[in-house]
Amino acid sequence: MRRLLVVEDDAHIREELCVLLTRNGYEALALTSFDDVAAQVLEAAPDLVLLDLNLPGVDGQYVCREVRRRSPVPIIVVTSRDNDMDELLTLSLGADDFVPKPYNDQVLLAHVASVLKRSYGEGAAAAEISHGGVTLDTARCRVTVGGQTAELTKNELKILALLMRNAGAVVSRQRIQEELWASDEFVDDNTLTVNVSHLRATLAKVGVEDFVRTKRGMGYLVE
Amino acid sequence: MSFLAYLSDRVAPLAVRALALAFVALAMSVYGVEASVVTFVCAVLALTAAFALVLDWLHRRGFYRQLSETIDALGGQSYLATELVERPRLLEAGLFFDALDRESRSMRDRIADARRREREYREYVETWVHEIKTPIAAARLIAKNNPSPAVDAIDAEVDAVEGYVEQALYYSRSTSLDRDFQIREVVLDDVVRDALRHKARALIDARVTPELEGLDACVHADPKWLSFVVGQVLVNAAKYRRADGEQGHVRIAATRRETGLDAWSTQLEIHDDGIGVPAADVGRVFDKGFTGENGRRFARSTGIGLYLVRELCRKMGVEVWLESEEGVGTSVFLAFPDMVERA
Repeated sequence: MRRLLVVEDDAHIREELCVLLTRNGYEALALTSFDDVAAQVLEAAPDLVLLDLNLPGVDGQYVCREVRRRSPVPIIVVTSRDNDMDELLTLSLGADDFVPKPYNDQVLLAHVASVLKRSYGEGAAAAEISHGGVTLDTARCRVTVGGQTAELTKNELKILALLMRNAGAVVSRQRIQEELWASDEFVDDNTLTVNVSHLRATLAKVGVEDFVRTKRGMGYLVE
Repeated sequence: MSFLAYLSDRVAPLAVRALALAFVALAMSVYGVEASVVTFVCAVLALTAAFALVLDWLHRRGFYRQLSETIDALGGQSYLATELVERPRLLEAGLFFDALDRESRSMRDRIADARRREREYREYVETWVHEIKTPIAAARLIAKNNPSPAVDAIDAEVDAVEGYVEQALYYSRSTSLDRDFQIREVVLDDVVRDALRHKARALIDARVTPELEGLDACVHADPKWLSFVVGQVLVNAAKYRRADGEQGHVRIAATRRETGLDAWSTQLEIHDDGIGVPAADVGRVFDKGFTGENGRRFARSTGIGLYLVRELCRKMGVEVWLESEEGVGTSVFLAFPDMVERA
């Protein structure tokens, strides 16, 4: 499991980012004090750093340069400044990627996965999600239940992953659509219905019936 | 300053002088001076007076002509004229020059002051926009991590808030004189997909799905600005949906058009099958603050979205226009002229 370090001064964002990363199959660490950030980052020795440039009392650019000078750990800079100059400056500091705030969670996860792949090779971002005996291999687009494996399409994988990450909560159809749109699959209502029924058929093939439940008028649910 | 105008300004002293000359001539003839001598003296006096008059006119004309030419050349910044014209040595022209200079100096001070205040305000807006992005990002992460119908509804509202914040940022950028954008080659497909991701929630909630066509064309624009422009048009497609509950569509397609002799442009059409714009409003939809019939009846309209579209397009050298049929749909066209390669 890849260890990600979150360097972010806003407590809400920090906590929620950790929740988001943990649910997506990463191990998330966070800094809570900002004295000598560079040293703390090096000490934690994570596989990837998510760095906010606007830290209290610390120059984020300096941190970025310091960490890069002493370690090749991939750094993704997350910042609310989004003009071209900032982007250029950030990359010249040695950061590997740049994500402007406020980011879409899917966009951020895509950046994380692509930087991990680039730094540690194919399969590095491989994250497995397990729930109720069903294991989802997001890198290989496969679902495994009790030794039986089935292939999923890209859309089916995304839908199932979203439902399993939010197991126990009803996920609205709009939320699912939004998730698919974030990766350029501009599906409409009917296509989503078709995708979900295919997903159910695939799950039935490996012996799980009723894994994805419909909440009429609200959305879908994995319990 | 024509010679005639100059003369007419001096009618009174000239008349007095002519009268004095006539009286001298009369007096000389009364005292028995010969007629030829009288004529000679009068001619010398009249000619020297006329010569002095022309000299004086030429002298003054130089200053006024230079002043008016400088003002013409400066166009909209004529208040800078006294900086470029030398102070004349003539007493009256000098006094006039001083008055003009003082007036324009106070004007320049005021303009500099207003500019400074505008720049400060703009910087404040930019900072504010960046500050508010942090709580917005936090709110969205919380919403994404805790799905439920209520939180989803709040998430949609946060999305709308983000849209307005973005508008404020681009409004402040569009009114500035600086060129803080970069025109470069961009693939339409990338920009359109970015805009679709940004406005996904609004379109999904309105049940509008996009259809993309021929978007592999390259155009010259600032990618962020263009994405914002396309986003504004998409939001309108979502806002002005027909209320029949049917699935709506927005078709985004690019074509190449010959606009003149060997001049080509890439035309991006964003067509929705919404309620359309009443014919009487079509000409005014890009005006600032114009809300129109639809804005009042169907949705909260601020009259800012399309205004910004026009302003940003104008700055990027992109032509924009709208065609619509009420009840059928609306098309917004963006035309990107090909950059002419000069040898």
